[in-house]
Amino acid sequence: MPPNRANYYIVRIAANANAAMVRSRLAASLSDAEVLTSEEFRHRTRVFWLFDTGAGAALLGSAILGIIVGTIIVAQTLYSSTKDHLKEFATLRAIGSSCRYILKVILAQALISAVVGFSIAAAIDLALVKMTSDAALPIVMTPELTVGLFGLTVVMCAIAAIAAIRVVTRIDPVLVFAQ
Amino acid sequence: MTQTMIEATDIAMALGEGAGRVDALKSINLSLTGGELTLLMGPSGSGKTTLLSVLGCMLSPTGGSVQIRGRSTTGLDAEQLAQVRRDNVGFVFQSYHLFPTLTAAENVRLALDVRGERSPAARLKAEDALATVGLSHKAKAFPRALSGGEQQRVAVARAIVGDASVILADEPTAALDSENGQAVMTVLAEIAKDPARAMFIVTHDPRIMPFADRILRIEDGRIVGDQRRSANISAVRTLKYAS
Repeated sequence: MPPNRANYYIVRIAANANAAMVRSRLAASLSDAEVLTSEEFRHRTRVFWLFDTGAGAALLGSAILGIIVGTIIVAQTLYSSTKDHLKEFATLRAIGSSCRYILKVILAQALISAVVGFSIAAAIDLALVKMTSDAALPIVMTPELTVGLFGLTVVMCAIAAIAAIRVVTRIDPVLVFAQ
Repeated sequence: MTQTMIEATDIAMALGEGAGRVDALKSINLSLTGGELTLLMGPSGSGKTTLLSVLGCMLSPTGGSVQIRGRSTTGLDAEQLAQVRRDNVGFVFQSYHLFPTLTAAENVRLALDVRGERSPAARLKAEDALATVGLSHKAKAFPRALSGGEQQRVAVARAIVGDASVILADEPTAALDSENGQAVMTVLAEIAKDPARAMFIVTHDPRIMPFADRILRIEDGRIVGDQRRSANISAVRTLKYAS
């Protein structure tokens, strides 16, 4: 095939062949071509799409936006819930609960939000993984990535709880006497 | 021998600042002893709830001092005051303040939970407290399934479950009809007989006067009357309530 008609050639080597050695020999004999192992090619492709095309920036931007929006939504939900239950928190304070106890209550609510939210998202993701398993560009979800994303969700929800915590730790127990 | 549970000395409480400043309490001297049910009566705005809040370590007075079982609360921060409440004070509120998503037993157990008591023994203590107020059979009921009087009795159980040495009640019968009011006061009066507890009730309700061992009257932030009732009057208090 003429050189100007092809971009890439895939070279398959025998199972017991030394890939690095084959690569060196090919590179020496093909002065106009770049010879890469699978791993090098994968790395180069990833870097190209992530950093040279702008697609990576868009992907990263979307992820950051998702984290910010998600955190704000959880924060607003917890804050509103706390505001709606000020009397209950004042009662807890009146009967002698410590700030630490109330902090645990809010963090438990945040953790429940994280578990529920992550479970729904994981179910959707699992369906997408199955749907795209035979596609040219399948979605991959490794156990490590799943654990990492759950950790990120928990951290997001814990950060989201700060506003609610600020409200309840300043609560005046005398509020219980207000009619 | 009766023991002094709360000693308030020369209590003053100013609310607001500048032109809006109000002297809600002025030179209040008061001691509450175990085994005694004390009523605090007075018109609206006379300082009843403010005094209750000060005695219950919810508000720090601007003058004077409060001692609970010999321990001064002067200079304590919010967390330390919460601990004093946790260890010594049980509250009963006019509108019960039960948690609607918890059962009666869980509401009672909450007072132990905030103290870190979560063992099976805590469960038994909560059951005992509910038995004391005659609501063992309602342990698994949610507040919405209870009458006002029953909810208030659950609140009483929550107040006594931690062996508080002082029970402070704010208008405990105000939201109840005669029958339920009598039931709640009968329970409170029975609990007040315990010499290890002092009971202090703020009220407008003259129907509960026969239950009192002592009646304090407050006006414009000052105690203007302090009357102890005789044993004979106490003996017929239930009949008087009904009339």
